Amino acid sequence: MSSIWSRRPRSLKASLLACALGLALVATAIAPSVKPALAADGGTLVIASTQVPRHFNGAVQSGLATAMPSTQIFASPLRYDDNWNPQPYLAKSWAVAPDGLSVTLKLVDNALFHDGKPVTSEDVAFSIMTIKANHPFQSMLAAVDKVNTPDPLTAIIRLKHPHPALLLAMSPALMPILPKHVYGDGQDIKAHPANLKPVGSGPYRLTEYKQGEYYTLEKFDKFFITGKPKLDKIVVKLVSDSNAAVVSLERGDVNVLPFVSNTRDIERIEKMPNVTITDKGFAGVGPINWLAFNTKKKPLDDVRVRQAIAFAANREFITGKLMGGKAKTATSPIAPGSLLLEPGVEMYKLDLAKSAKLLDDAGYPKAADGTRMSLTIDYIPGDEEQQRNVAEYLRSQLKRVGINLEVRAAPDFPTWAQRVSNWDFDLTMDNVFNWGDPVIGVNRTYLSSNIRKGIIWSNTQQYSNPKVDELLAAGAQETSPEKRKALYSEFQKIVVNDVPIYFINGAPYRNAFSKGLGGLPTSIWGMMSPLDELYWEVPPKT
Amino acid sequence: MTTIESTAIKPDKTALPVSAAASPTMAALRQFARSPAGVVGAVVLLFLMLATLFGPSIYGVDPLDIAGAPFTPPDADTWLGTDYLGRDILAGLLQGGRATLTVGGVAAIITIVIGVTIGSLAGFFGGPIDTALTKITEFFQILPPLLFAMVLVTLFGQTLTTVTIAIGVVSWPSAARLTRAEFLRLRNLDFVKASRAAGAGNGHLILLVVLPNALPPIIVSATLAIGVAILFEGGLSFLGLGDPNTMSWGLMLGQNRNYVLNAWWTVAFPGAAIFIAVLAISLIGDGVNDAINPRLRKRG
Repeated sequence: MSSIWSRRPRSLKASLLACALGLALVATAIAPSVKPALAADGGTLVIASTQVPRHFNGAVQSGLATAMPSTQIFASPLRYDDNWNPQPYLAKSWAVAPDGLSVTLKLVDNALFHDGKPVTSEDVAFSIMTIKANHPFQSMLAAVDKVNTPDPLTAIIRLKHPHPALLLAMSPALMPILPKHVYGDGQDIKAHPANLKPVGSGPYRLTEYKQGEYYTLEKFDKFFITGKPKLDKIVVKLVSDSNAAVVSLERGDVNVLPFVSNTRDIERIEKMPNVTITDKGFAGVGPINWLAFNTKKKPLDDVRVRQAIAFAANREFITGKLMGGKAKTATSPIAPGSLLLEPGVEMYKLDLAKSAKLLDDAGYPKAADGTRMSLTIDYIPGDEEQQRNVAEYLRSQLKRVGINLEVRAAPDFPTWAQRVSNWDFDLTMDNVFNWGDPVIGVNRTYLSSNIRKGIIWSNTQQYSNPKVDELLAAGAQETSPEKRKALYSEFQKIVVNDVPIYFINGAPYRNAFSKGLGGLPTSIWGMMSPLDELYWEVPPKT
Repeated sequence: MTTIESTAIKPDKTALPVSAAASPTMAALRQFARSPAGVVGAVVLLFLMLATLFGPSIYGVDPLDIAGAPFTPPDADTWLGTDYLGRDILAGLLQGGRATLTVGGVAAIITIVIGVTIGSLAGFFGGPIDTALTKITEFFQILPPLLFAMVLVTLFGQTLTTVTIAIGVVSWPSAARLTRAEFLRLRNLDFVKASRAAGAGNGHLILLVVLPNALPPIIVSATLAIGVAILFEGGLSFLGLGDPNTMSWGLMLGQNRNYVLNAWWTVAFPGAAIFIAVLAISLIGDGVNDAINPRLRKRG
């Protein structure tokens, strides 16, 4: 709502900003004409984002809004390519001990923080323990016991038990290396003043932040990878209205539009001749849009009722028609695009007869008026296409098998979160991220030990299956990739049969780039990884 | 004495239609029929009411059902096309009109009941009661009505009942001020004094003596309040605060607004329906004003 009231003044400011940027672009466009050989280097990039960061310290804050700037400002031990392979970053090499109980990192020797001090193993140790203590993803580094620092360029991470997810947890979005001499001064890290004036060792440093309007990142001259980053400056404009952002992209006022998820926006961008749009760059996040059940509430405590709803909902219609074919179907707790995805699970293809029979068997025959039961469905306000529309569709669809579904709108996110986290719901739409590894983003939804009232995105379904708990515990420690995959395959089959959640689709996220940009971020973390390779092949005309 | 005489005769004729002619209602209706705007408005509104009353059963399509592919343009099967879920727009218009017109009517009644009660008490008694009630009225008046309604709906849930009550609760101050002004004007006139001298109590005076004479402007204001309430419902739904389980024109408009560039028919038809309904009601308001405004009556 606030967006509607604030649109007018903001767009005025935005257009002033755009004018200023236009002038800057004129200046940068002239320079290459003098030295054509350097046409690829330098230049300014303008990103528009609807994601407003609370601050820039990804060590204590999860989410896309913080991760995008945080990964530019802070370097991490490892980074990833587009096929889940770890690549050296601050760590030039890494070795997992044969018993899986320690990981040794050798750091590059020329990495400096933006204040000129060198990056040492002390900083790595400090950062890991800070993240373990403060990051919302508690399971991510729970296995870490301590970090030894035998010399300034060697860090040995000691584990309580083998923890194969650790390598992925060293990604830029999840393990920013903080300078101990700045963040280790004893102040509360979650409210540290340097979260808004960050000092990192990444390719760009934050030079300006106008709260809620824009922030500016400038090239860090002493970045430890020579010749990078290629761009001089990145300006991120924070916009409240995705329609306006799409128009700016079309006009060339904006060069990058990350995290586009609306089908109509995607369709409009696909038709723009001067823009490239890609679905690459979201495998790491692994966003799944799903329908969750309160498995402790009658009649949903009966697995047959949940299965009946799954057979009546038509996943193909939702992705194919409601989302215009832009979203991939999701069929299990593991997001499409992950190497651990098990394709051989129950698919719940549309079958109204089977659905009706399951409801009959469960003891819910049709009453005289054709209804069997009345339930409610909640949804996260804000994302209409992924959430509200699907909820409304399900109301129409479930009526066909005699389930009367009432849509409960929530005026804002906290209202929805409060209902769901306090188990005051029957069915709810939800959108949850995998974050690359089950230990980081999947376990929380299914472990019976994570049934925690009042906490959103815990096991709010109150789903409890000892076998699942066992498999997840084993998978978290299994170092053999094949055996690990087998454990998670069994986990997926069981969960899909138990239907604490009906998986619908991978959220259709896209990143859009102006043509003329090279070195696009297509790794598994996409725009949540350093943009040090991005450059202008053809600088934008102004 | 002379001043009393002169003021006593005039308002008696103008503001006391009940006793003025043999059938004042008929006279007003005749006057209303002479106002072309009012007649057009009445015919259009009657048509809309009949359509929403009998339309859904004749057309026979559930507005919440998936009738076809999403964003089907108007064609032979779905005359006005389908929305983002594939729901029939025409079915939505017919069914949704019921909710919209009901909300408008009921909210206007709530507005008038609260407004007239507060305004008449304040205007009739004056003194500290007037001061207190006027302060309360002003308190409600300085709250931005749309924001206030949004708060109420957010607090008490997004149901049609809440929306209706919220609209009524935020709209009454102007009716109260109007009524108070009329009462202040009328309460010291001779016919009121005469009634009081004849032994009428306060209740009798307010309800049977002053109020009937204050009614003409209130009726006009009530008519316009219906239109305002319909727009209000549209506004709340547009902001996502409508009742998602009851189809209404505002809800259709609000839910489809993001798709206006992809499918104009999803927004154009409900928008046109609201426009026509509010226009019709405004025209009726004009007609009513003409019919019961004594100055115009003399002219006619």
